[in-house]
Amino acid sequence: MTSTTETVDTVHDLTGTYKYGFVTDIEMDVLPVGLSEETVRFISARKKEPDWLLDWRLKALALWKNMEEPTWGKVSYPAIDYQGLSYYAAPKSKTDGPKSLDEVDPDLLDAYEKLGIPLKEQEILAGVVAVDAVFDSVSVATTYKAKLEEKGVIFCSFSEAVQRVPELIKTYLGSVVPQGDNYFACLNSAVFSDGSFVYVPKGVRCPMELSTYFRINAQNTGQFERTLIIVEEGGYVSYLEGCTAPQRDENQLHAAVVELIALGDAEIKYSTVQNWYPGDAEGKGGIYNFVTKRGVCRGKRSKISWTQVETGSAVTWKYPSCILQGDDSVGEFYSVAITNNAQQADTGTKMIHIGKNTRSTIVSKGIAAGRSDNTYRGLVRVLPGAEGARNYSQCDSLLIGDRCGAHTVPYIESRMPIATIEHEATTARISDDQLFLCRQRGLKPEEAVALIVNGFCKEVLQNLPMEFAVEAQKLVGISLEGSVG
Amino acid sequence: MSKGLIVTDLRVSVEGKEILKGVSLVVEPGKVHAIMGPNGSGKSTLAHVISGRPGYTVTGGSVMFDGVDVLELEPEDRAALGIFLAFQYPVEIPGVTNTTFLKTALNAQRKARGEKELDPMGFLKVLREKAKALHLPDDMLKRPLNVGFSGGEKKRNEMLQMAVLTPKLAILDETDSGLDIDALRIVAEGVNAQRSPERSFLVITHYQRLLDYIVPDVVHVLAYGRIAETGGPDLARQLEKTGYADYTGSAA
Amino acid sequence: MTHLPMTPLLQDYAKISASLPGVHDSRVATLRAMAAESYRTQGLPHARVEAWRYTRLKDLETLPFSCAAALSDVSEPVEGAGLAGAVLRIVLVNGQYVESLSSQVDIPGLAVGCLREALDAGDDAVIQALDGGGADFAGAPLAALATAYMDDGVVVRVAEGVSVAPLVEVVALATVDVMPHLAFPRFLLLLGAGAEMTLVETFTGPAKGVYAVNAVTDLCMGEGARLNHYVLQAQGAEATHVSLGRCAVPAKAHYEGFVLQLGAKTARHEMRLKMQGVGGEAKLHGAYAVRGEATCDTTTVVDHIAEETITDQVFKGILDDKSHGIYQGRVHVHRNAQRINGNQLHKALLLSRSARVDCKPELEIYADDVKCSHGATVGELDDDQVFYLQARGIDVVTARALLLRAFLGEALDMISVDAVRTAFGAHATGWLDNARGVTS
Repeated sequence: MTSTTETVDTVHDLTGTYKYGFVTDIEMDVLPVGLSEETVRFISARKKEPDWLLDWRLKALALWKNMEEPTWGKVSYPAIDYQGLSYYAAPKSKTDGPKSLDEVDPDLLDAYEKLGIPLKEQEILAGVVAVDAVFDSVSVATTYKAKLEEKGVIFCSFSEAVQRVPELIKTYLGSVVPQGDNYFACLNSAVFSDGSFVYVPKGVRCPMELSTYFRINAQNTGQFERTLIIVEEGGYVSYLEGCTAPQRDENQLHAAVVELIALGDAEIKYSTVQNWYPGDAEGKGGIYNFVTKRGVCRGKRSKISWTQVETGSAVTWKYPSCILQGDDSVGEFYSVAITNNAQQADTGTKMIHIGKNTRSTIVSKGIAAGRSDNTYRGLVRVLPGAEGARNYSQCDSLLIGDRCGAHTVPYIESRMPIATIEHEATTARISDDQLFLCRQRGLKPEEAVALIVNGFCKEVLQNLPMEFAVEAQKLVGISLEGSVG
Repeated sequence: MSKGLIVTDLRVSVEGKEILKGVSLVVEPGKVHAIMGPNGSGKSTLAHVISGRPGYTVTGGSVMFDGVDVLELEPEDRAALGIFLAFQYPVEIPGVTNTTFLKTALNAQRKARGEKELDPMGFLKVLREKAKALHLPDDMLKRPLNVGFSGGEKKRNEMLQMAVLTPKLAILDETDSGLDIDALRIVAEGVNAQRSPERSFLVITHYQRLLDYIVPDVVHVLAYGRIAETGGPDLARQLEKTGYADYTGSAA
Repeated sequence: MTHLPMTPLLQDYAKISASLPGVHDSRVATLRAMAAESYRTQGLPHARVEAWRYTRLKDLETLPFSCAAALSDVSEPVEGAGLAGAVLRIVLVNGQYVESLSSQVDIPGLAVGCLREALDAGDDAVIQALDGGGADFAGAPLAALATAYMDDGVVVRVAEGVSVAPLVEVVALATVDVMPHLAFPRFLLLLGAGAEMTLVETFTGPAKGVYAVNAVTDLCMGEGARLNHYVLQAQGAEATHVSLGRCAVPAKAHYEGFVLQLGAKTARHEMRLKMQGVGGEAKLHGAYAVRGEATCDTTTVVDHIAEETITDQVFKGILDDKSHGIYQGRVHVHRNAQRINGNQLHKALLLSRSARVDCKPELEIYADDVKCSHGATVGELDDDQVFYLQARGIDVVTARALLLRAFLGEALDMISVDAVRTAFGAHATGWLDNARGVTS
């Protein structure tokens, strides 16, 4: 069955347009609104964190108080009342945390079923994907733990990792994204609640895709998860991340931090399908997605590859980046960003070439429809030691309708003559001829748009793991629903 | 309910200028009709209006196909009904492979008709066979639709789409333009292989040479927005000798 | 929020302002007041101003420049860009129009006048055309400063339908004084509907000695006019050069621009094009070559406001030693500006390990029926090409020189006026003859 026709079926099946807009009624343990040292102490205590981590958080809070919210992005939104948010929300459970899936609240499992993420191990894609699910602020279940640990792979919630492998956390937390890196990362450093942790030992190819699903459920809560992935020499991991949130009239803040560390010959493939609630057609509600993602290729010949499909959120501010420190290391960024209605996305990447013969590839496809604004913002920086560095960037924009905006803002900075940087950007639209051809061959206008846009994004989508690619193709169609008359 | 295409007193204008000034013709199932005529006579307009291309205003008359008033329908509904247009200038769609495009189109049409969608393997088998018959290499099926295709490849690709979608009425809009004699022959073979008692063709061409290979049942001469003359295959051959001078002179 | 001290630049303003021309004309007075205010709020550019991200005007920040009009004691003929053929030369020394050094004008439909007189006389056309026809100072604090101090300059008027045969060259010459001095050359062109001309702006000064130039050029084109506008920046090695050109391209008008920057310690040339009439076309090309510890910034801002407008940009740069090259190009397609074509290309060659280049080509698009593209490359001279030439018997020094000349040539060849292409080519070759990459 073709993805486009299925897409349209899905659209018609829905009463609303956002499939994941349901709210799960679960007894929650929610911290009152407000942000202070007490908040940070509460979160840290609730997680039974060691003192050094509490201090680390408090230092971040102190830094954050003196920082200003960035204004350089091409996004606008009403001022966020950081004191009006709750910084901790967790499903209330009888014990301290679920020991196994049997202990997880059945309503919660139901919620994940609706999202298409069955947590019951036997149902999980015939054993190829291990899932960590983060509900509001806490990790509720991590599947396939045992099978992974046979190989020495640790895949657990961040909180659990703090207890189990504190020395790894202490070494690597903030080593790629320091506390004071930027306003949102700093806030996250102070109040992060949970997230996923992955450790792949030397020479191990992680036997299955690791996957995290993030879900914001509670009202007036911010979600501040923190992901840390460490792959030792010669290791490999493919990590998938999916995001949804209920449909609410208020805006909700999501300020996550992801840190990746690849040592010599290690490879990390990080894929995201971000489908947070985008707000309604008038721009009411939706998630503010202010995320800092950065990986460092610390060792020689290491590789970090980011693939993202960004269709959700009211406002997206996100630049998954690679610091190419090891000689011959490779950074990749493949991105599809779709904005419709009143959505705003300012997204791109940074490729910092430090080591010799480092290579980076950037392929960005921005699609703007409705009254949305879609900006690619990217930096390629080649430092003096990066002899033989190469970068290739391709940024294409597609405009659907005449009320949206598509922008390309690349920064290219080179301090190395023996380096090659190439950047290309184009802007186009779906031509009337293309649309008519598809319709003459039997496609409805929305099917035609989905087909053409999927073609436009193909280079990026084909980088996604199979089970995600299908989902992403459908999302492309759903996201653009109503964009043509 | 009368089968086939019935165009009655069709009047069409573009940006206020009348292009078709009352065209009537009947194409019965299984028949091949050729529409010939000088440049600017409205041949392509007729093809576009029947298939539903936006940008034309129908000011009078009707187009019925198998008893349905197609002027009321969206282009995709006409396609599902079995109307196929082979484009004079085939359109490129980057990133969408020939195979994906055809599979999506075919299944959309089947679905609209309430038929079962084809399984991917069965579809591929049919596709490969038909491509082979048109001398299209396999790798062209994997390439993005018409992107980087030569003029001849694009036209043959239109024939491939026709072969796969098996329409009831195929409109060939100057499919012969820009083709050398070998490509022309391949295209004609493709069309002839498709001729059947259920399928009719409307072959639009400026030149007679295509009609040496696709022998029509009926030839119409369109000039100044009207059918100026209708005859058998002989009419085309006669035009080859005399040209369109007889028709262009009669403008009122 | 100003991050830097105000610098002494506006300190003597109160003293001087009363004696500046047009003081009794309320329009001029208002414009000056807005300009002074705009400079006060913007201050000298700093890294947090996006439009000035990469360029700092260090000398202006630190040295005590005087903004008062400097005397000129130039008596020998001024050479300019070395253009062959018929050239009508207009000379400004330290921003002051010097008639005695300029050519006699006796071309019907062409008038050359002194800006000071036009301001004092309350000339409507001139006053309305100043600063882009309105106080256009956003992101241009130096242009605001220039208007605050606006004293003299040149106004060229070309009547409707007149085709000016000779090249018109405006030479802005600077001299070195005991005190570092900031000059404000200002040039205003009023080109009538359907008129045609070729204009060359040459900025030059002594090879040694500290001075600064802050130039403002406003080009007003009538419908269907054709303008070739070429800029040569060949300032001395210790100079600070800042120039802003603005041109509004009306319906069916055609603009061809080229900027060649070869001099100064710190240089910033910015060209702003407003495509505001249907069917307007503009080409804006350029080249730069920098060595030593110099900084050279070329910035373009193209606004597609009207439908069916076309712009094309090609820029090439060579960076040697510890130099720093900057190219920023912004193409902004406004809402409803359909059927637009806007292309932009920047290529830079780094000849030294200490050189750096920063490039920011930017597209901002609000209409869907648009074909816009940009491309940028940064790299070194192609070793394969050098070797190919060597294998054909050409020594490495000559081979490199040849390839560098060819690299800049791709841009220089875009100049459609032979005499200008030849002269600019000679300047580029002159620079390359001194390039380390050639001699080492």
